[in-house]
Amino acid sequence: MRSLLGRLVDVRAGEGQPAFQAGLTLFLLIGGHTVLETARDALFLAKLAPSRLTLVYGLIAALALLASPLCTALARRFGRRNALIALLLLAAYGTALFNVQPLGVPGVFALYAWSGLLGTLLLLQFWLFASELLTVAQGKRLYGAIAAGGVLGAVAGASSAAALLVRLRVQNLLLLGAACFLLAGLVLTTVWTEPLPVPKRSASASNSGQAGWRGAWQSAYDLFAQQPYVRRLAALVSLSSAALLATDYLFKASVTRHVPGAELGSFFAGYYALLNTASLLAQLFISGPLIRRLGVVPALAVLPALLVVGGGVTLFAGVSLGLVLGLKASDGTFRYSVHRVASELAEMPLSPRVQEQTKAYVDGPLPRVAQALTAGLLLALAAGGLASERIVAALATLLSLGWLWVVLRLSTPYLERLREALAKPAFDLRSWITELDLDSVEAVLEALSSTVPARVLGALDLLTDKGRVRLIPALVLYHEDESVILHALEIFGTSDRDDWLPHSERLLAHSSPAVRAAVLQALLRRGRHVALERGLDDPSPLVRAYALFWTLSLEQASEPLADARLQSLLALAGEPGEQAQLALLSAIRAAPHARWTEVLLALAARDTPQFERLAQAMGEIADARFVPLLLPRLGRREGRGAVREALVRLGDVALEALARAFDDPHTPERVRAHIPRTVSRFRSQAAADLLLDWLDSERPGGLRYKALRGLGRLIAEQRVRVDRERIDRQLRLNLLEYLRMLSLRQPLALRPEVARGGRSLRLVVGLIDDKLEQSLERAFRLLQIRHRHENLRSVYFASRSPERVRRAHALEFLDVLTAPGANSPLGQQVRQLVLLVVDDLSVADRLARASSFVPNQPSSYAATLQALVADHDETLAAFAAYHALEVGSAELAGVVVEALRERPALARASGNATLFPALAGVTHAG
Amino acid sequence: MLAEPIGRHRELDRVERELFLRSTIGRNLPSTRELAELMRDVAFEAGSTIYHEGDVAEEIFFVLRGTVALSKAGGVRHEYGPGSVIGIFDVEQDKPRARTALALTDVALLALSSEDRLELLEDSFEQTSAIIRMAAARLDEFARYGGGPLDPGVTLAPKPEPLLLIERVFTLRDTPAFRRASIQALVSLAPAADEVRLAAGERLFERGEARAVLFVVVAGCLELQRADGQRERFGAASLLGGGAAFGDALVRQSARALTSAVLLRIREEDFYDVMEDHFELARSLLAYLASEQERRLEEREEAASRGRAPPHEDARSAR
Repeated sequence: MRSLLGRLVDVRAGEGQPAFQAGLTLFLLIGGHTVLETARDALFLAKLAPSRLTLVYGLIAALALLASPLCTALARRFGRRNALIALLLLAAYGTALFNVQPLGVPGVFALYAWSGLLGTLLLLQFWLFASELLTVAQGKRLYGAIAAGGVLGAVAGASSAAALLVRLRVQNLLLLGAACFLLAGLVLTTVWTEPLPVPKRSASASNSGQAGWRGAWQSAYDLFAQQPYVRRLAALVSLSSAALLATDYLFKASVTRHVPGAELGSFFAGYYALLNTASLLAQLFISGPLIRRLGVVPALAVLPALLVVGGGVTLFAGVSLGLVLGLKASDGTFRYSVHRVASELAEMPLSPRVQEQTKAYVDGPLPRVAQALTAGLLLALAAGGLASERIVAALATLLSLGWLWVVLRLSTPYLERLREALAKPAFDLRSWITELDLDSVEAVLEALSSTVPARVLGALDLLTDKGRVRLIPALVLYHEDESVILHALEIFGTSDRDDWLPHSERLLAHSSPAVRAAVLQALLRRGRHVALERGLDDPSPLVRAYALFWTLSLEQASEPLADARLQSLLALAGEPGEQAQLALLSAIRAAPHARWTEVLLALAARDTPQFERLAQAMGEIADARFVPLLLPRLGRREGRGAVREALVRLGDVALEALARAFDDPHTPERVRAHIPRTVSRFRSQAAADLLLDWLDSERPGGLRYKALRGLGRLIAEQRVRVDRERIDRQLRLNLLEYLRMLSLRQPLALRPEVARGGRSLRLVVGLIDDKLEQSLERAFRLLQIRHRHENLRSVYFASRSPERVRRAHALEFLDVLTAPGANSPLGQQVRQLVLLVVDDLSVADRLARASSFVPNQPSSYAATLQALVADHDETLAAFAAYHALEVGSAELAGVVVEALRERPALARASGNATLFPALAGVTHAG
Repeated sequence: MLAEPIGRHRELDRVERELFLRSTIGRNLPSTRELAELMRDVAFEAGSTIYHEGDVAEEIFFVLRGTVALSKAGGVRHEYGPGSVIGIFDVEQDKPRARTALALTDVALLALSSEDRLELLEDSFEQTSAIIRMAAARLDEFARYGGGPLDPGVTLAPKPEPLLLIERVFTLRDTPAFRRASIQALVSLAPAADEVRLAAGERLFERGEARAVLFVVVAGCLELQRADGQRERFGAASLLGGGAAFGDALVRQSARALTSAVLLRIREEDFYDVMEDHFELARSLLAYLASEQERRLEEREEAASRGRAPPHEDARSAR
């Protein structure tokens, strides 16, 4: 029985009890309401004509409109579970009261409205409660089973009512209904739910004085104005309610025409019993698998699509009882199963507050309003003699078509809601300054007067970035901080302003050589050569080098290296020599020209200590001869950024050299390790192709990881093509590796504390944990490459969040995201693996479900160690071997000795460091 | 749980925010806008609580305007003004808030989540190493390096020669600075280290010699002597000089072995190379540096409460 249930419903550890309690509550709630409806219909139709129903529909709509916001407010104030309990108790009390009152015309009118209102509010509150009890991922698996409780309740309620009516008065059925509500409330008191984090109202909102109905209307208006997704849901709810009512009318009209009046009762009873059974079967066997397979939004399209097709056929082939029964069967089978469950799930990505508001303003009153309007329209058509079955069929089909159209346009907003649910509040970039208004300028100018240098530098940057250099006062050159003066001179020197020139001359005598050099440079850039001769005689080699650079540039010297003054500057040793080289290289970088190429080559040959500046200057001149000088420097930390930049500026010739170096076995590992990231900076299709080739190769994992990161960075910044199938292959590999590592970890983690080898065991488990982390991170990076416009990073974090709702949203997002790619066997496999790895499962459950992907999972501790010793990862194999020896088992020692014979490299584990204390001894022992 | 501003949310002065970013944390980043994208602005009214002691620490806050007080139950209260960073120690160590943060005036803050900060640092290696050096320099200012009152006699433990790789990994894993690093990172770091063996009384380095190098004690007891004559002892599985060793602290010290000792010598360049490939090593180190700074500040507070030294906290500081 248990395994049969397990096959029908995917219930996981810890989920059975809450799902059963929710199902039982819905069973009692719907059962009670069905009994109430039976009594209500009988009492109403005994005293009033059916035409009065349209009035009561209108009344129910108005009451629902008023009561729904109150109910959700109650849920917000006291919690969703408590609100539902309170409502159930009220329902029990109110229903029991109708039993003790003699019911005249106003009484039955009130009873009908009461039952209609309860039908709306109780279901609204129940599904609010269910969305707190279960996440979207759990809902996809369990809502079907819970909703089946409701269908069973309807069947049980109807049959109990029929059976009891043999002995009881109709009005006494109300007591049974009240008892059911009371029981449902009692069951609920045993359920525990984790309240959803609903942010409190902001002080401004709560103090706005918009209390009462005006506030409610404003709130409803805001909801529809600000939430396009909710607008679509509202359209869906309205159109579906109207279409289903029209279909129901068509069904009843057609049955009345074809079935003799005396047989109507038995016909309806038999047909409804059939529909209830079909609905229950759909709930149990179709609903869950269909929603899991198709996804939430496509599942929502099932019922309207059936109604459109059925309606279309009815219209073209002519209205017949068989076709109408078929239409009604679609409604009866799928309305309370697939459609109900998918509708509830479609609201799950909404924030708790918006979800409550949606229940209050959309799910509560809208169906009633739509039904009332449709009923009015049908009444008007009937009054005008136009309510022929063909016209009603046309109306129902048209409404279903509208419903289907709304559903088909829901996929993108649904995904968007999931994205929003996964995103975090962040800085609003719309408020990032693009233009400076007068107030802003005032604030920035004030910052320029600050005594804090960093603040002045920030203000200088801000004005420069916004193209407002003219607003920087020349008096900033009188600032006491050297970094401010240097930055201001750099800005002024590259601007078209001259008003700063008179203030700069005093700086030529500044005590700091850096300032003297900077002012000289700035003046020369503005064509002021007056200070050049003074600079050539400056005591600082820094200033002299700048002056000489500009002198030789102005002279257009074809071979600056032949100049004696330059030779003597370059010949300076120690700090003066470094300063001269720094100045020369900075000047070349600022005013690059091919004449300086030989100077740069000469400095490279001397292994200048200013290699970072040299690389920057090389990048500006971009001569192909620089490539072999720059490339080996990737292996050194100092100046690596500048080297990368220079290589990128050198373009294709550098990219080709990098590709050759990566494949060259003589390239030092330290250099090779930095090639992928360098290649990613090229931002070209050729660079992307290279990185993908390296990623999809047999190279060591570390290098492939670097290629992956590089490719990810490149794709984020540049539009390039990537072969999706190759990415999918990598994805599959990493996800399989994740599951494989998990299968190796489990037997080790389950092992009780041991006297020997505890420390080395922790090391092995730690290494496996690292690998689990790595493979998952890589898989998400690959997914990001596959879906470049999505923010997979936030999904990754959400999937590891301690909050179950965020984890469920991540799973649902990935489910929707990977669905379109699952049209090939590889894509389908990748999708299954992604969902398996991210799904909220215990390790044992995950591994059990992964058995088709990882067939040979070790079941014992010894088997796991044997598998680890044979692992392709040498470090992991070596550490496992070490641990196996520490444990002291003769069998494991034999395995290790054999492994070491076959793979002597294991004894090293990493680099040249020795792992085993007495390898020879171990070999002997074996 | 992200902090929810409970006071009236003031519209921040946009210029002020941009100036703040450009003049502080954003200055050394390639794009201030990129940093801004990761932040959210929050405002609190005077008297409201920004976070409570014991809350989950998920964000760090940059004070744009106003004054924030940090205090723990029964402890000293410290005040922080514009330019300060609050909540960073908890976030670095991934532990609940150690103090309650209270807005003393209306305050404007920029909040950066721990996840985003780590992502930013992972992509900007230079920024990460700059933060490490900055924290090391701050530790250096405390004039205490975290050595303990060791009895040299009990720190002796025989070690095979040469050290086995696994022995090196065990030692690194036991060293507080690397305790949170992945095993993979330690496996990469261990072979990059040189083994140093000293006899009792032998000098490890003299003043001015230990540049760009780190020492991890595997066995034995080492004594570090500062220029002012103060001495500190370091035993097995400790970083000689503590977190300050990641700055220039060791250059100004001399060190000798009090017992026969085994050490791992790691060149700073090698360490940073491994760190670039294994960001968890940086995370581990940042957590260690934060815990060391917090410990020093608490020691200082304790000394102040006993009247031995005045409590001092820079107005533009981090905690």
